Amino acid sequence: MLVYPGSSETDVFIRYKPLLNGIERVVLAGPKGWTSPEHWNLSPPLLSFEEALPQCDSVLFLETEPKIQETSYESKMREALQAKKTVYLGGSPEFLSRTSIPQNMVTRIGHEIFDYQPAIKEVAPVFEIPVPIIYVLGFGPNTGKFDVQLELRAFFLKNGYSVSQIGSNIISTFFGFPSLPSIFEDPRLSIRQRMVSFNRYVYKKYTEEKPDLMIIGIPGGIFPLNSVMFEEMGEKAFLACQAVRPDIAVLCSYAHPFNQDYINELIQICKYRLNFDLRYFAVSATGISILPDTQESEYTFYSSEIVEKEFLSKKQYNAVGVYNIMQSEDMRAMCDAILSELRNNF
Amino acid sequence: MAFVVFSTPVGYRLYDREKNRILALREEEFQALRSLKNGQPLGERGREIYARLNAAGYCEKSSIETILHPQTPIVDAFLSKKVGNLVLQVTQDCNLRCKYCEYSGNYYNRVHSKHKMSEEIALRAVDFFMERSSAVESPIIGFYGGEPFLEFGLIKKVVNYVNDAYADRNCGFNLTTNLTLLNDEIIKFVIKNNVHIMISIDGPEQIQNQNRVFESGKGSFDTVVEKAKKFKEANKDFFLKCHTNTAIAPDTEYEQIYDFFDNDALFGPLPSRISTISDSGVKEKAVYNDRFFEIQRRENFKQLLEMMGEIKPKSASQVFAGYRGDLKKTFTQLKTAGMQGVKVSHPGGPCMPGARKLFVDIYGNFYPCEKISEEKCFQIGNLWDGFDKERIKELLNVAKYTEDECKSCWAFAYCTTCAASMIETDKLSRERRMEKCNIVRSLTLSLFQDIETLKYYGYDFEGGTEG
Repeated sequence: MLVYPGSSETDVFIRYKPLLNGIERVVLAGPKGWTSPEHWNLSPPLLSFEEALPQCDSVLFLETEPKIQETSYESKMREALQAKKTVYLGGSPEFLSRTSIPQNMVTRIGHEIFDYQPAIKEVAPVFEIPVPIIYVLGFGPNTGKFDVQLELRAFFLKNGYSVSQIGSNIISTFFGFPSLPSIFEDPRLSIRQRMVSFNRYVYKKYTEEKPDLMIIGIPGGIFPLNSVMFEEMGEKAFLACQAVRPDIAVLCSYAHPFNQDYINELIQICKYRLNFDLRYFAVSATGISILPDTQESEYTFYSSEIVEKEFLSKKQYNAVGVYNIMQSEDMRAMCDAILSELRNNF
Repeated sequence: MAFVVFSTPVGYRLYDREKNRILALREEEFQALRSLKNGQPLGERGREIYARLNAAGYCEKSSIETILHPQTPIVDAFLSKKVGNLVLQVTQDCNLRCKYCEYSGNYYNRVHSKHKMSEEIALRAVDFFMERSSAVESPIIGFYGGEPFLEFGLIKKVVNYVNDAYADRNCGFNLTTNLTLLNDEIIKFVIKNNVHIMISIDGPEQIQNQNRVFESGKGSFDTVVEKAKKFKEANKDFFLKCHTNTAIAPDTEYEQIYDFFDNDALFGPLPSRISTISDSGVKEKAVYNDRFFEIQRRENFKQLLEMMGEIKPKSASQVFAGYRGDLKKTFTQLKTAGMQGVKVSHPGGPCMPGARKLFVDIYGNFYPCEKISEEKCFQIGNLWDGFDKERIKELLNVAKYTEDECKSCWAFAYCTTCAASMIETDKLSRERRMEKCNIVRSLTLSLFQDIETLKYYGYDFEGGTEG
């Protein structure tokens, strides 16, 4: 499969190749001038779309940061369809309707709609899920949540556990599990109904798959980062944590300096707002800042070494372990700690 | 202790850097803190006041121990993917001889010459830039001179190359011009390729012709107007998106200039940017008289009156509408966290040299922007060796020149001084930086005073942002 464009957001296709479901090989392509991050160890590096297309049976088009012009996507989609490739499109459904490409020629990848039947009453109990629930949440987009979900998946599968999983990212489907349905945005449902609907969705998945544990990624953030960065209100995380209380939660963060006071405050927020005890704090290779002129947020992608050196001088803050998402040793240590905790709980 | 007390028409205030907050004070509190700042001993009442404020977290000892820009360790991340704006010096020649120009001979190491950029260097610079801007949604390429349209052929080649080789990249173009060389071919090209144009014009005929003259000494006003009319006839909508760029020379009729840009039929509708003559790298500084500052204060005050609804909309000069933007930006910044507990930081002001903007001269040498004089000591690399990261880190950390003063300065987060303001012949100067400090503090205090006054009279800063 060709993934366009290849970026820090889509490099999970390279780093978690063995977890891909039904895909032998992934080729990442990008616009001219885009370069692949060093940690990809790609050989050859990021290809052009024209070079990559003949090597693949299917093409996945995704929206990433920074955005690419729609006209560029459209011309490449036509090229792929003319070459008789299967075309997948993730992202804004409106984009396709602005082109003259027939909608039935493109497979849309997105959050499915979950229709809970019978209709949810306003007052309905939440069902208890009788297997461990591991949540992966974060401060917002690009905090490495999906990487952590894949790390956990790989670890538990390797250790012989059956895993039922719901992903925060629409590309979950390529790794063998669905992404979170659009329950929390469903305008037909009240707040209570959304919570109960999510609970029912998870419960249904449990009854159908009878797994040893469930791993659920929650998109978005857990609260607004400050009075200016209000893109992430944390409503999905809040509703999810009330609807299905996690046994374990990994909180994924942007790369920035922090200290014990900061961690203490996060512990309080997670306990009283999100119903879990913070013990696993995973730091991504993405920095976030506010542009002074526009007040918009801006991401900067670092190397793992910079994250380790500048932000992770300490890896334990009392009971909270801090892990570098881009370091496989750290991820392994985190997974071991989670397994040990789960084993000791039963 | 990094705080300042000030008076406003609506009462006394304290600005505390560690909290980044403005607090209303009673008069006795104001007097006590003013005495403290002046190094005078406090009486018993003064000590009580101070202790109470201290207990609430105000007027604490400054926590900053080291001046170091927080982006210093991550310079690579910016320079490898976030170079956002390339400026190509396509020529050092110009058909005008504006008396205040940076190439007029009154600036260090900058004079007009016939030298121009080769196609090889231009395209190489474009490739260098594009390979380092993959995290930028809309990379911008600007053309600079002299007068860039003297090298229209090269500009065409660069734009066509980018549109062809980097069609997926959503690249934008801009250019500052004196407009005198505009012809049908150029007009058609800039419209077709959406090149954003900034027109350098100083104001009405008498003022324009005072300084912006051809080599012969003849004024350029008539030519500029003729070309602008032609441009507008070709595509009115596109013309209306152009900006004007004006350098106000000292001892001119300031009000005539402002009136021109408010009311002229041709240039009035265009967004205008008016500034004083750059003193970066200048041999002899321009000195503005009191009248200039009086008018500025008066016009800024009219902006406040319009914001409060005390005068009709559009009564205040649109030329000074930028002051409202400064007020709103400062108001927003006052909502962010203070410096409390921060041990390592750097004052506001410097951008990431080479990343925010990469200025490439005709020889392929890199500079942080077009404002920095083209002395070797300010070079941050070149097309063959790449970025000089150590030099970039030095220019990023210019507050090291005034480390002790900056650590205790209340205007730390609001500083706007960068390397461009510190140039003395061929080096950065601590003294030049210190000269700017009072100006920065004075401007910041004015903004604080006006924000507090507007808030007192009910101006809704938050509501104003949701059109």
